[in-house]
Amino acid sequence: MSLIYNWMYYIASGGLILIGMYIILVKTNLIKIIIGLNFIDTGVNILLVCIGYVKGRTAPIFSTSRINPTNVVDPVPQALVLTAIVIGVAVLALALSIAIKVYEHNKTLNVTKIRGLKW
Amino acid sequence: MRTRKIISIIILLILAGGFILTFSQIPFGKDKINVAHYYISKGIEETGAVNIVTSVVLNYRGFDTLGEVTVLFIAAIGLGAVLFTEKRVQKHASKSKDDKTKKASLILRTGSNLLFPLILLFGAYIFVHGHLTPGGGFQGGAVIASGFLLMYLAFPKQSINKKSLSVVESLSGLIFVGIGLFGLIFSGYFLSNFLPKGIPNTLFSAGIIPIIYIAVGFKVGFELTSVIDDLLGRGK
Amino acid sequence: MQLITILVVSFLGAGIVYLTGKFSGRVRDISAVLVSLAVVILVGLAYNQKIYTNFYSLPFLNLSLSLRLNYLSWFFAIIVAGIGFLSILFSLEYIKDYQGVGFYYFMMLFVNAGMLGIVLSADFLSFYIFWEMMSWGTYLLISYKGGKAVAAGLKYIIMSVAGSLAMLFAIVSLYASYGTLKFSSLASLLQIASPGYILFLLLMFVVGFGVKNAIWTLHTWLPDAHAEAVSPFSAVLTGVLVRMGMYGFLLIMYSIVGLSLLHKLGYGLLNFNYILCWIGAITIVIPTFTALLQNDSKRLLAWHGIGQGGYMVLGIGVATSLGIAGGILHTLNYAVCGALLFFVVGAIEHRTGGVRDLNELGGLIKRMPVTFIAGLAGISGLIGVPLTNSFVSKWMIYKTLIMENYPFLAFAAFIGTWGTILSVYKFLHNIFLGQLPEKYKDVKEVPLTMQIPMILLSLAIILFGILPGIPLKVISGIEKSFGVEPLSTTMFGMPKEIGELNLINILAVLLVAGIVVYLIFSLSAKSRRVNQDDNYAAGLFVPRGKYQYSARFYDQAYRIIGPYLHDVVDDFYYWLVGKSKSSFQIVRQIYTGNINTYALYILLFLTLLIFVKLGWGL
Repeated sequence: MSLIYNWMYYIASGGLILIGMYIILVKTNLIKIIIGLNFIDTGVNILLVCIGYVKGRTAPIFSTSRINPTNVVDPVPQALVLTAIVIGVAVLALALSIAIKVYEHNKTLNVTKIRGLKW
Repeated sequence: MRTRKIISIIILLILAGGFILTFSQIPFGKDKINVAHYYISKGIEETGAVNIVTSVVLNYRGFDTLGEVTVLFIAAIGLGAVLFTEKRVQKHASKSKDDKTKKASLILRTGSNLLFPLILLFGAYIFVHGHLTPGGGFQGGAVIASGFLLMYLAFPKQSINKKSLSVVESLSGLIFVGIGLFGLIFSGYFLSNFLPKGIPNTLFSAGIIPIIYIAVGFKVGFELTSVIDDLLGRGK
Repeated sequence: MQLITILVVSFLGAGIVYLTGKFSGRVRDISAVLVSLAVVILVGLAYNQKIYTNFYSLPFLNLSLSLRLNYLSWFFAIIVAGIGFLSILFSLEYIKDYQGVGFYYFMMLFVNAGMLGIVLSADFLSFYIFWEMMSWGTYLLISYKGGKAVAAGLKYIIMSVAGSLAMLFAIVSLYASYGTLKFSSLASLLQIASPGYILFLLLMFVVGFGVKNAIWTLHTWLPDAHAEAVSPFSAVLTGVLVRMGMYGFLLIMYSIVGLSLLHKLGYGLLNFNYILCWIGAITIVIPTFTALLQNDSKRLLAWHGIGQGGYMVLGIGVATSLGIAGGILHTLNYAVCGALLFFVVGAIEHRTGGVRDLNELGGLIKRMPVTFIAGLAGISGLIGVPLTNSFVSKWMIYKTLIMENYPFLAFAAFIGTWGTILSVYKFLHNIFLGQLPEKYKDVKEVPLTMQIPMILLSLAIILFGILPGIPLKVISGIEKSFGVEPLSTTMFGMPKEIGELNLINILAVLLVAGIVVYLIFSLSAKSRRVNQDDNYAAGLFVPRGKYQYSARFYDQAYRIIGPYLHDVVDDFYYWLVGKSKSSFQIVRQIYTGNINTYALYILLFLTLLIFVKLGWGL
């Protein structure tokens, strides 16, 4: 039980990363590849927050007097992940706009038919 | 195609093995707090915000947040630039086919009319109380953008005034940088917390943090709305 | 006076000429001439001083850039400055119709300044910096004309960069072994190095300097470069730039490594000097005969340049006092003769509108007499007719080869002179003698500023031929600084113990013979002059074509020896380039254009790293 509890979050984030990689490696639709990229982003963000967790402690917001500095989890990974999520959104937006342009130019979204990157 | 799938699965299995090796070295739930001891113990008296994450994001690492706001700005502008050229053609063409798009159903229209101000209020609540409760500018901005998305779904023929969106967006960015420069004038370093800290756990506390978060909230909300508007504009 | 004044004047002068060129053409021309004249005067004033200055200390690497002046530097510096000044004087009229004239003057002065920096530097770092400045400036000037010149320049720069990299390899290994790059300290530190290390250093430097000096296998850039560059710059190229490789040879073989160490390299007959002599001998024979087959006047002269360079390498390789003096003196002599001949070709090109093909020209002696006399002087200088300066240097090389018992090398040197006579006669006859074609009926003589360099150089040929003591005095100073026994010379030759060359005797004999011949001619009956058109054969007038027997008159020889004289080294390099290109095509197949494949490459590398971690625990 405690083994599953210890590994649950790591399996979730690692699983998301691996699923994202599988999508990029196998799928041929450009939109699906971009979504796979976002999967990897999400997985890594979850992983970062998991690292800062301390068992039995609570959020680092001193709203009541029962929460004191020995009772809170690590706030720094949470601050980093805030930035990372926003950057994931920015990457997604730009990638989608480029995908729209590629579709208008090639009339297809199948990567095996888009040969612009060929040597 | 089959070979590609098999090769991918083999590689991913090896990578999974690598992950397991690495994650076994990180014990889950142990006390690994290192840098944050300083932030947790001195956070309230130095910044006045009870939300330590907010004080880290906006006070101790405020310069990185400025960079992040810039990245989002660049993404929105890049999107507008990449998708720009054919918008005029689309707009002239869409005026003739007005009757093709159906009106949304009555429930959707009424519901979104009712919900839209509540969503905006909720988003504003999130970013105004950024230093007291979990949340902040980015989260509140995302909620505001979702409100606008709801209106786009319900009333597809209406369009928003892009000019006012971009004016508010740029002004908010300017306010962020301007406050940083005021900090430079008053205390000698960029983005210093020069307003009085006040009593912790009240609304008017934590110096410049709520002001910056209000600016960031507006900025992100309208930025994501303009992104949605750009992307929707292609489909017409 | 400070050495750095010379360098500052030359570099700043180049910049000033370029800037004034933006405003006015006349000011730029005059300032270019003045700057180069100032450099000549400054170098001349620095004669007979031994100066060493340390002008910049690098804050890291414990290195400093320093300059020095001794006899060797002064000898080469005066050649550089002199030929540079004369070619700028020549190009005043020549370059007028080209585009980018300001850039041309700037580059000429810049290359000049770079070469001065090379000969004045006293440690390898500044040497390398100035060497690279010179090489890249040369590349820009070779491809100045555009068209085929760009391909020629590209060939040059690739080979030059390969040579410079070999040199850099040796310099860095010197720094890593000894921690200093100054010539004087290296000369004493290398005395105790192992012979294998010295051989490695010498090999790398021979490759680096051999590309510049065009020894046999590394010569393939030179014909194209000389043929396609503008003529005043070809004169500078052949006279001075190629001899920078010669300066490098002298520097590394005698100044730094020293004569005593050179004798210890290799075993038996196969030591370094002997192989260098053989390379020099092959460089004399093969290019001189290839020059026979050329129809383009500049390519002919370019192949000659390679051949005469072989004489210099041969002279240096023999390593006796007579041989080294002969090699160094031949540098000066060939600089004068080669530059003069390229000026002659430039004058012809200027007046006939760029014609270089020997089969087209002819009979220009009637229209351009001064150019003809200059050409005649240059040709005699190249061959080594007694009373010209090359006679003295070639005499010294022959004498030392015979005295040291190298029969085959002496034979090669003699054959070289024979080949020179054959091919430059074709050059002179095809351009000047024979029949004047119709289209060149009204070419005029070249303007005065182009005549002055040619006249000056012809006078220099005769002057150094009669009074060889003037350069020989400087050369004995150089030899003394190498530790070789210096040559004892008089003003007119060398005394009996070494070589027995007394030019007063030769001058007297030739004067007497000249008077005798003149008397015989003037006292005998005059021959009748027949007009060329006043012929007929079998009742018909002979058609007025071209009666010039020296055009294509080596065609029979071409049929026999032509296949052997094909430039195999050039073909080898092109074959190498072709094979590399096809192997690069195979590597290009990696880029398939499929996003999935690219992501696969990234993840493959990641798994490789995981394996490395598992296997080695890094």
